[in-house]
Amino acid sequence: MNDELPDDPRSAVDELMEQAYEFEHGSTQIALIEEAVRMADLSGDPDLAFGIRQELIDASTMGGRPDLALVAFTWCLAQFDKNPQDYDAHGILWKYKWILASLAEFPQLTREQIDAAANDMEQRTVNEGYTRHAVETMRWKLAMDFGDHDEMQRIYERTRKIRRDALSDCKACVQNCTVEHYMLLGKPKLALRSAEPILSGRMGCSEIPEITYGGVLRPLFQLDRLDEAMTTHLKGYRLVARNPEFIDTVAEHLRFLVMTGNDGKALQLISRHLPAALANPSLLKRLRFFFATVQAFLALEAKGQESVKLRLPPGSSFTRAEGVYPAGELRQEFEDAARELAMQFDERNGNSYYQNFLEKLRETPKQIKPFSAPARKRKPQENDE
Amino acid sequence: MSHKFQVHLSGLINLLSNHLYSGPEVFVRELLQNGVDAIRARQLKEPRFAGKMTLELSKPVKGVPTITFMDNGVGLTEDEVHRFLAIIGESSKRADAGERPTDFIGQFGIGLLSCFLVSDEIVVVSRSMTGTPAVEWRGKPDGTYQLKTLDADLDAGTQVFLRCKPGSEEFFDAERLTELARHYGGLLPFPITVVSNSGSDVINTDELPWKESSANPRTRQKNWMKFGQDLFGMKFLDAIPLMSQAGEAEGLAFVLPHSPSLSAKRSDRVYLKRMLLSESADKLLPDWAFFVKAIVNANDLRPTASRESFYEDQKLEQAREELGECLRRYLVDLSRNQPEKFRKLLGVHQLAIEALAAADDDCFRLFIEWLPFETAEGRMTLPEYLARHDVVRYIPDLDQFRQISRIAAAQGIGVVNGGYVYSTDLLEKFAELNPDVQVIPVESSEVAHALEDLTEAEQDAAEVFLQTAESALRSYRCAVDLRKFRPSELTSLYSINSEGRFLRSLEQSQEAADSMWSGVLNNLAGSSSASAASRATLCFNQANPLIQRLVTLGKQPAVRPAVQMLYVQALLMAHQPLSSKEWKLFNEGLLTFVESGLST
Repeated sequence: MNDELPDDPRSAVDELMEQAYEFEHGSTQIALIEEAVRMADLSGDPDLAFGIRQELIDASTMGGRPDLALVAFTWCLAQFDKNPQDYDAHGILWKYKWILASLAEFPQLTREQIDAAANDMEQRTVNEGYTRHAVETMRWKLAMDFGDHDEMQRIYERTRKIRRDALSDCKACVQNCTVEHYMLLGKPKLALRSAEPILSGRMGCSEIPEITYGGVLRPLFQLDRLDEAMTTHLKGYRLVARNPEFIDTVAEHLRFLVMTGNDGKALQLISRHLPAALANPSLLKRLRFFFATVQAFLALEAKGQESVKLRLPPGSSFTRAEGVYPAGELRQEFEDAARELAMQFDERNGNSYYQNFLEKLRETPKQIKPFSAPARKRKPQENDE
Repeated sequence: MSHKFQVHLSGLINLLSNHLYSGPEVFVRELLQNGVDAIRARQLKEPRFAGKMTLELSKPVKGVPTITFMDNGVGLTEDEVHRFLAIIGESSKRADAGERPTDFIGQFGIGLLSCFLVSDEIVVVSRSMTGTPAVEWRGKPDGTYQLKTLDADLDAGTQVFLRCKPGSEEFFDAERLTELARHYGGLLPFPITVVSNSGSDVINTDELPWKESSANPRTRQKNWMKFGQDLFGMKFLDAIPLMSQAGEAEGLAFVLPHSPSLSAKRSDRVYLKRMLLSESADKLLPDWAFFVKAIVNANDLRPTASRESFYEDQKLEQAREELGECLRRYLVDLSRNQPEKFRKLLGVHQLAIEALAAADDDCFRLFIEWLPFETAEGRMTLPEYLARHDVVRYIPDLDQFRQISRIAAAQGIGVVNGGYVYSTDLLEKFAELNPDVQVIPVESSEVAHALEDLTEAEQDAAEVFLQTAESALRSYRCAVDLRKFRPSELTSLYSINSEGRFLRSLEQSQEAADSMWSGVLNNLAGSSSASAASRATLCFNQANPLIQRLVTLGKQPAVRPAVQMLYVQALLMAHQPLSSKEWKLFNEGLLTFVESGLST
């Protein structure tokens, strides 16, 4: 890894991209491509600047930086609109899906802005001769994030009747959405039935089954299929542990550990992932992680545990030097942080979905079903293996 | 009355093979698998029975090439043939209980029927070891078959005859057939003979390569290395024996001679009961083990539906842990007993070792003093760094480290780059385990604050200049500072933190975007832009003669454009693309200087 870059911006871009490809999705890769974008801009070649930004959109979407992806995308879209003959419309619409679906994760954006973006994508989709399958699937995802169950069902019903085409999300992704759809509606059996083609390995893509493993934990738990849930947790967690993009899936694993009374492991997960949650530009994913964290402390409190030994990231507002926390206070702090975000989202979404969700977490201690992973010979490493 | 669906078998098989398997060549695997199962079934009854298999290729000058597969296993009675060959997916030997229905086809394999991929007719002649008459089964791809008993007094065992169908000639070739038999069955404990016009060859030996009998550890190691090179076509750095009780797995891991890309999928060669399962398995070793390529046989792990990988269950999880433990022990031994070799390995596989150290406290303690970090003063280990500096300051951001590293080095300020994948994890773990050492994350601007301050008199003298500079850059949301640093040729140092960088790129997009997206970006930036001034700083160098002159000029008209030009210059040196406003600034500043140059 070389500190010195070539003076010629084009060579610098090549070198940075070559380095970037060596890394897995995450902050190092993104930092290298960001710099490559700046060098591409300095080169004065708009096509190069466009191409490298496309790479940045990919890397930051897959690496947990939807804010960066959005910024790079708007530049590309403007460039595309200026010279539509120079670029590939399918390519830009494909990325439009990711961007559109991510918009609800930012409570700073209004419903009107998000709807306008959806309409804009729809218009472009139709103009290019595609069906509305792709854009409606994104609206479906947005409705899930808005906590709007009626809208989710309406969109689900009408989207099923639309023909898939080259712009559609892959089948595994759509199937995973169906799992989430039923999970959110509180229909665990349907959720699991929808998950079956993914869990059996017949469907998959770059992010599936990783996400699905986290998504089925809740329905499996609800149906008392704890053994399966534990197996799924064990194999699913390690697949999502390293990438901040999956922090909400990690939250599902954390929640599962809390609900099965595995407090020690739950605390380890909090220590390990809180930095990524706090740094996460997707406030919705951050909120979901906070929810699971609140549950963890509620469970400890209910057990009468007064203090918690925990390593929190240096510099966070939650962190104290001594590393020992009164369980009640910690719960309160995370609950406050979660409530503040929940209120922001609810205000934007025009409902009280996330605040209600937070209130319902109070029932956590009553819902716990203790279940532990079978003992193993060597003390397990909590991290990557 | 009930009716039956008409199923065109070959179509179905084609479909299955495209979805489940890698290609038509799996027919060789299925033939061998049937043979192995039959032999093992026979050995249950005759424990010392010596099993063997033969693949015979016949290529008449005129006419269709054929392959005859023979095993001397348990054989089938007429009844069993009806049951086992007639029902797709059912097989006498692989019917382990407790499978979920979704794995039905995979668990049992489409078996013999995969031969329809290369042959339009399958003929099976079999004689059961129970001594019942031999039977002949003729199957067609449309799902029909004929069965008759034969008078011939055959030895117990099974023969399968295949006739090359058009387009499958490549598989009816001695070289290819030998290669495939070796590929799938090279580790099988029963001799496999390939017979063709050019002679007959036993393509495997009974010995498992890691069961190397040589008592001399050096000879053993040498043989392993040679085996690895022959197998994978690569000269490896070392060979490590692997063993796991869980899953009854054994094998060898070879240390790769190059550092693999972090994004590359790992690919190991794995066998199930000595039959090749996959040459690109990615689940059997822990994530951090990407510095090795392994060959492993497991006798007690469950295959997936496609029979090309292991099923992810707790047994696999435990096997992975035990196999990982072998590698971990190897590294620990090496670091303790063969430091030179460890250093060499570290040179190639630093990332893997960092990954392991970040994941495992014990390994961390052992490895940390070996691991070089990138610092402003070059690559060095933490002990080396701590010999020079009391405090470990690190910048968790690649770009900010680059902004500041040269200046920091020139002033002898210690800064570590925490921007690479595991660096920050390792530094934080170091802090946790060494409470007496201060380890602090910093931003580049904080490092700038550590640059030498002005004296009080100098500060007073510079006050007017700083006010002018501050107002000149206010609308560019860049704060100003004045300090002394080396090298004195440098007029100023621009530093920007990650939020500031984000806002710059956001504004850049906003300049281009239409009103809808511009509004979205505006909201995204939100309140954060209010305090943006602190996110970028231009620190002038009081040691630089030009800056000294500007300071004395205070608020004279030339100062403002000069400051703005220096700002643009600093941006470009920091590889920051200019916004249109900054370009305008640059152009205007240039004109001002050209004019003032002309008018004097």
